[in-house]
Amino acid sequence: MPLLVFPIGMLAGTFHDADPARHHHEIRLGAKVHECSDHELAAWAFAHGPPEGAEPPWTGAALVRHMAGVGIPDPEPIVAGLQGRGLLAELAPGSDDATAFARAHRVVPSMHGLGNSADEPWLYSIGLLDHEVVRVDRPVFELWAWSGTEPDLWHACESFATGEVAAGGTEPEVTEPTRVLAGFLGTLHGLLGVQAAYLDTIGPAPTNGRRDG
Amino acid sequence: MAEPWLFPVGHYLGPFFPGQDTDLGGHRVRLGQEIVSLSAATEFPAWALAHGLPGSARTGRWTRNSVEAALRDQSGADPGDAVAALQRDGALVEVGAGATDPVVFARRYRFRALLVGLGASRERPDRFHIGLTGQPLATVDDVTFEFWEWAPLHANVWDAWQAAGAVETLLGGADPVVDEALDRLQTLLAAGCGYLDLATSM
Repeated sequence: MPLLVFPIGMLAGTFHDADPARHHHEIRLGAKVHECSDHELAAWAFAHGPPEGAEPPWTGAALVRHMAGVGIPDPEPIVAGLQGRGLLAELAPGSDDATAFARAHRVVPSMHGLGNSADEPWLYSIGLLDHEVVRVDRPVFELWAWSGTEPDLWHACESFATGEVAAGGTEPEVTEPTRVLAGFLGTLHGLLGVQAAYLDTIGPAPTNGRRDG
Repeated sequence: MAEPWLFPVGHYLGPFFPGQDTDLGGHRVRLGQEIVSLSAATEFPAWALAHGLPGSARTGRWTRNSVEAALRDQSGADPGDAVAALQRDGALVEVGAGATDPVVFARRYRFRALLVGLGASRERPDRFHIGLTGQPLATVDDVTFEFWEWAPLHANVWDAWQAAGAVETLLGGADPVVDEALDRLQTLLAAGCGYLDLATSM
């Protein structure tokens, strides 16, 4: 299984300093704010999912190639630097590393659910109240919808699997937490890429505005 | 005596059809660990309107009377007891004089942010944008933005207000401060920048 690359953190935006005149970008990761350069933000943003026309899997190597292709010089150390700061992660769905990642991170929904339809009740929409941005299957929707109430992504997968077993489910893809997690990670770029969710670390209580350049 | 604020509670999950070619089973809202199903005829419109009117230039607090008037204007529907029913289900809460005390409210609920931060422009560094990349949907002041950014990490609205410096004098009984904090919360909800959920122990 290839190592997929994922961005972590919530975008707070671009800010301008008066003296000296410059700008920087801020990403809140758990209780820390990370300041990023233009190229660092580009790498983090590109990590949300493969650009149109790119073939999956969306790996760290594919991200580096894409950055070089759009003219960002020396992309490898940029990606490595973001990994070192916890703003990017590479992991293989189904691996022990993926489980460890899921125990240390959570998925946070950042849009509304828009429900299903009588025509295709197995598909669920997510988006703004008047605008669908992505359609997913029931397991992904349920994990997404409840993930914010769980302490971490692993617990979300366990709770989902427990519910499926209680409802009479027998397919390992929905009844075994490791398989649930692997399936969810395999589709996660679809949610991250349209800003329907973000990944965050779990951690101590916040002190607003704590910065780590 | 000013009318209480009216707040919607819960994360909207959309209409739910239990099977192919079946009738609508209701609009689902997640409230803590529970799902509340809202009727399409009156409860969902009332709950949706309790967020405010997006894009409108309204000022001042959004109340039960505001929602019932908007419901009549928009759909011609008789609000009936929709607001009261939603309050019983916990999907709406009135805050202020004669209703839930603001401090009790702030400790009972938490704010979960939606959308992403877009920072501020060089020209107006005091105005902060929230939306989707390249698509600002709300512009707020610094205190509101800080609350939006950090509230998801706090167990309840009260802690988040305190951390954002929004209620420094609240314990001294400074009502304008409470009013401002509640108004800011309504601004964020009206713009779709977040929702209220039941507070959690953290």
